[in-house]
Amino acid sequence: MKEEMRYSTISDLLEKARMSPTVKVWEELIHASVSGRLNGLIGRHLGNIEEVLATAASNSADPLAVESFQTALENVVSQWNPAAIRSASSMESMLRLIQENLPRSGFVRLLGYLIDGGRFPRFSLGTADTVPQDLDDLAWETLSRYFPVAPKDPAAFPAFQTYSRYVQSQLANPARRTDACIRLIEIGQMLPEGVELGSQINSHAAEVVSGLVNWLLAAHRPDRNLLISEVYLHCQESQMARIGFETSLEAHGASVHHEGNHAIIRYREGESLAIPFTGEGGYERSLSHEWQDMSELGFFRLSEIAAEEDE
Amino acid sequence: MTIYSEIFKERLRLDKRDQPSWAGDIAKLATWFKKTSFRHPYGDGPYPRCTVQSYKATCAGPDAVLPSSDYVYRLTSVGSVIRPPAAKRRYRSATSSVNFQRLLIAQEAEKRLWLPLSDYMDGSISGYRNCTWWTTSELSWNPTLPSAHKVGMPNQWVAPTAMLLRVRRDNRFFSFVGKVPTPIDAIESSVFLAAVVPGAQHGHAINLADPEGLVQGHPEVVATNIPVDIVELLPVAVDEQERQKFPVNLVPLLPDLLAYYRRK
Repeated sequence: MKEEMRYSTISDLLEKARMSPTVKVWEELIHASVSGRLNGLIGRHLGNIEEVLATAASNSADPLAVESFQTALENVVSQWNPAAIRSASSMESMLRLIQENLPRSGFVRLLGYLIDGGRFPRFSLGTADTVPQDLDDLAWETLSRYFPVAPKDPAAFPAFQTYSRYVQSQLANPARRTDACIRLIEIGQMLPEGVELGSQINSHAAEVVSGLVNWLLAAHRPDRNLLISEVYLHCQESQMARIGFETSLEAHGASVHHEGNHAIIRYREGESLAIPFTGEGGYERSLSHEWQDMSELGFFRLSEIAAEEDE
Repeated sequence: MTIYSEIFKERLRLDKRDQPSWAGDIAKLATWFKKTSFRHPYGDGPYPRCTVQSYKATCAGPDAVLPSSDYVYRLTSVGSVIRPPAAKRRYRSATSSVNFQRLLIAQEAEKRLWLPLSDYMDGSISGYRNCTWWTTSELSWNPTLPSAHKVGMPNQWVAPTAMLLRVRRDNRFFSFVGKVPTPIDAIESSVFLAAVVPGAQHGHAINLADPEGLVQGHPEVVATNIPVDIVELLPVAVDEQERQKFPVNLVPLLPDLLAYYRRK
């Protein structure tokens, strides 16, 4: 009878969250989720813990359901101590809930733990179907959600400065170097045309170039052309980087070739980007003025270049 | 006895009657659930300690003969599909809503509605217990919930970050072969009515939102190991307003489901 009640309780709890989503009910549900008691729903119908809880909040007729959920999560996370990991799957669940909802205390708990040298298990058992999850990656991504870009006045945000220093320190970590380059570009702490990125690309071409190109081609950033041009120019400084760049483009159905005094990158979706260069077998960064002037005009198309050359 | 146990009892009766070739396996599974603390299969899962061999025998029904259609469709969630280990690295460690936003950005940037799943993951789609559910009926996505209800999914099973998948049936690289769903495929679902085998060409979901009550829903089949290269995806947001407009929730529906099974 006791076990029967236990299984009724989970369904009851979800229904209770729908009908009367108080902070207390959400806290109970969050604890139940983190301890793995909702795994039945995960896998069978929904993909992970954040989808289960977001669905529960979304189903509620109470307009304050989301707000009370956020309060409950803040309460639970502020009591959470990553150093006292009970199981990898509960750690994964907590990281996912933090990344999804960004409670204020989550940033402090997580970054504090990492700066103190804390590490996460490489793989958890996962939330369903024994799906492995790299918790170190999950923690990295979770922190990055707090600062997708730099705040307007970085100096006024000590949390940002601490985070930025932490990311900078990861340039020395081979497993995290590419991610650190990407993050530093995203938060405006590494200039795409700067020597630091060039140095990372050419000193660690094998690990950095493909990661950067993958990011640039998948992220659909509005400044993709500018960034990819800068990475391309950096890559001309070593053969390994140049080959890495071309191979990575090909993996995405894109290509690079030379036409007149331009390097032409053709994207999979049919658009092209022209990057001016000097000829004489070399690319000179002194030409960046020309590039910057032209880049202000926006996106280059092959037809426009052909028209220029005809003239 | 809880309502779940009552439903399990009725389902066992129907499953044995309508797909008698599975009767022995279903009986073994029922005995296992009753001997353990679970009592019924609708509360938790998966059950890795289940010693009954047929628990793993999913997608083992006869080949389905599907109604004519260009595509088969599946309603699922971003987190159910784009996840470790098959998800590409950029998407592996992001939560569902982050990946959902990325899909919307990709739709906008690439100026197309349906996106290739292979941009986001490698390998094939196998699903929970190596089994995914598909329908030949085109599923509408604006709104999405009426479609969900016609494939037997109450609102609790539809994430805000939902996703439609489709596979072209006459794909030159892959021939989609669905199977008639068996009671083993659906052992953990409280919403399922077995098709009569032999005889049935495919299964039918239970439509949860017909004005007449619970009735036969869209055609359904199960399949596994579908290569991601031939699958397209469409992200669909299912928000609070839509849920309030189409309120079909599992727990309040359970008495109706029990009555439905008893009538059959």
